[in-house]
Amino acid sequence: MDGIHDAGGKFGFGSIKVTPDDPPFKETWEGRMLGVARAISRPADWNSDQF
Amino acid sequence: MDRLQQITSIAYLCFLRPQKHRTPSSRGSFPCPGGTSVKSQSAWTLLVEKGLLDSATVDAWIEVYSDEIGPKVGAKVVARAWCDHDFRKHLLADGSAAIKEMELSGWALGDLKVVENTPVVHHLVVCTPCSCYPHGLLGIQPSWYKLESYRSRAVRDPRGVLAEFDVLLTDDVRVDVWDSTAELRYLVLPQRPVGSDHLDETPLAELVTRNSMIGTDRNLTLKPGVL
Repeated sequence: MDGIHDAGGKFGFGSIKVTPDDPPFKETWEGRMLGVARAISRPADWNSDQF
Repeated sequence: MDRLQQITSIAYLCFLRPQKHRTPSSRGSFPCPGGTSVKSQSAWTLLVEKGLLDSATVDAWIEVYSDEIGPKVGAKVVARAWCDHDFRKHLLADGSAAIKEMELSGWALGDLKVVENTPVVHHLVVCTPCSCYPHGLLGIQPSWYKLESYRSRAVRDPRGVLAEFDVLLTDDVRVDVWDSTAELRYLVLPQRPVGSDHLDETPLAELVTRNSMIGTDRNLTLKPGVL
């Protein structure tokens, strides 16, 4: 895979900001969106390409 | 309009539709006042109002990912492998099948390959295109797992990346890097802590850190890890 999302081997992103104690959701909207995505895709009557 | 069409229309309306005040600094999506929080709230409200979404189901998913699914599930698998030779063999041969036998509640997992650390081999997991991760075993990814700085350098300079996590490897330890995909995820089986022979599965699981199952931690100790 070679495309804009493939970061493997690229240069220039600097050091890693290591965060040892990340909560599962740092912002309320993160949990909300995961919940919405899970809730509307169960039962899965379509696939991501159709979406 | 069927259910899928209604949902995609709402997604377009809230997330993709060009806004009047698009800023040049926007990257990949269209901004609106309040940012992603307002967009996600709008999507959630529309989906509920149109009867496409049950808000209680959303709350239940948030609760499951906040409290139940997380690194503790993966730690149980690791502790079992340390204690049960046959399970360890099965786990390394077919990770998904072995974990299914444990009948862990609430987990969901596709194909999984388990790779075992040894005194002379260290494994590191990354997803260079995005953030593929064994959610059913480890929960939500840590922020750094999604950063370009981690994804780009894990395959180019894994020893340098590990040093940033205070994992300093000597030259006689080989590093194997595993690049995850949407179809295949990886779990590192870390080495059992020295001096833990007297412990059974439950206290052993307490010693397993999340990072040790990704490969950014190596030498587990008897001091309980923070999961």
